[in-house]
Amino acid sequence: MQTSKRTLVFAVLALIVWSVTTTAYAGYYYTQYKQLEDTLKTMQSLILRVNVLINYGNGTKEWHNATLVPAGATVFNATLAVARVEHSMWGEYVLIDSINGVQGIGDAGWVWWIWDPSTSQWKSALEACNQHVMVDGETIGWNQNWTSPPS
Amino acid sequence: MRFQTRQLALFCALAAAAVGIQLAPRPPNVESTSLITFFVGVIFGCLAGGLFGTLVMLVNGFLSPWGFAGLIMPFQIVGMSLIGVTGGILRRYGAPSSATRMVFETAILGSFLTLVYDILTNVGVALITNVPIVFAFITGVAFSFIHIVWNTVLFGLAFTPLLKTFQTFGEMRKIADK
Repeated sequence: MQTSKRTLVFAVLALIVWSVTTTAYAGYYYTQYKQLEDTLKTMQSLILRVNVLINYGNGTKEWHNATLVPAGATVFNATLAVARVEHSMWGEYVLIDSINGVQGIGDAGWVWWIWDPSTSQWKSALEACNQHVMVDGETIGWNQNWTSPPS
Repeated sequence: MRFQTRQLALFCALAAAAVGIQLAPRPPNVESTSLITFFVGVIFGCLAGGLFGTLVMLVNGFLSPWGFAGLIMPFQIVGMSLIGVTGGILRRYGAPSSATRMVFETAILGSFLTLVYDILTNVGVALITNVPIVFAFITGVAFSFIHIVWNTVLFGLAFTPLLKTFQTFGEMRKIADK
C-alpha cells in the first residue's frame, strides 16, 4: 500500500474513533443532564418559595423574600427559617412570644397576617401559625399586635 | 494453516498467556488479550488470529472472574476474532519501516479495533436487555473510553518491542519484508 494512502487510511480510522467516542460521550452527558433535570423538577415540587415580613413596630420592616421551605411547612416553620423565635404552646397551638428578641404586645404576642393577592390587602389570620400549611409563593407578615396589618 | 512444532508451541504459549492474564483479577476493561490476539494474527495470519480470538474468548466466557458471559459471549468472540484477523491483514500489507510510524499505526489500530469490539458487545447487551443499541453504547461509554485509551497506549507502546523481540529470536518472518 502506498504511504500516502496508508496514512489516509489510518487518519480515517483515528477520526472514526475520535468522532464515535466523543459523540457517545456527548450523548452520555446529555442523558445525565436530562436525568438531573427530571430530578430537579421533582425536588422543586417538594420545595416552596414563600415571603415573610417581620414588622418590629419601630419602623423596621424585614422582608425575607423567596425563602425556601419544604412542602408541608407551616407559617411557624417558615418563621423559624428566617428568625430567632421564642414561643409558647396554648394547647396544640403555637403562640409567638418574641421574634429576634423583640417581644410581642398583648397576651397573644406576635400576630401573623396573610397577603391576599386577589384584593392586594393583608388579611388577619384565623388560625395558629403552626396550623396554616403554606403554599408556593404565599406571603405572610408578622406584626407585634393584631390591631393593624404588618405593612 | 499448518503449524510446525515450534509454531504450535508458540501459539499454545501465547494462548495460555492470554487466557491466564484474561482470567486474572484486574480492573474492568484493562486487558492484554486484544494485543496478544492481534500479535498472533500478525505472526500466524488471519485464520490463526481469528481462531486464537475465538479460543480465548470462549474460555473467558465460561471462566471469567466477572462471571459467565452468557449470550454476550458470541459477540465477544466475533469482536476478538476480528482483532486477530486484522493482525493478519496488517501482516499481509507489511509493517512500516519507521518504528515511530509503527507505534502510531498500531496505536490507532488498537483504538479502532477496541471501539469495534465494544460496539459489538454493546449490540449484544442491547439485544439481550431489549434496549436501543445507541442507548446501550452511551450508557457504557465510560467503560469503553477506559478500554479504548488502555488499548491505544498498550498497542502503541508494547506491539513494536514485542514484534522486535520475536524477530530477534527468529520465531517469525519479518513482516516488514513482505
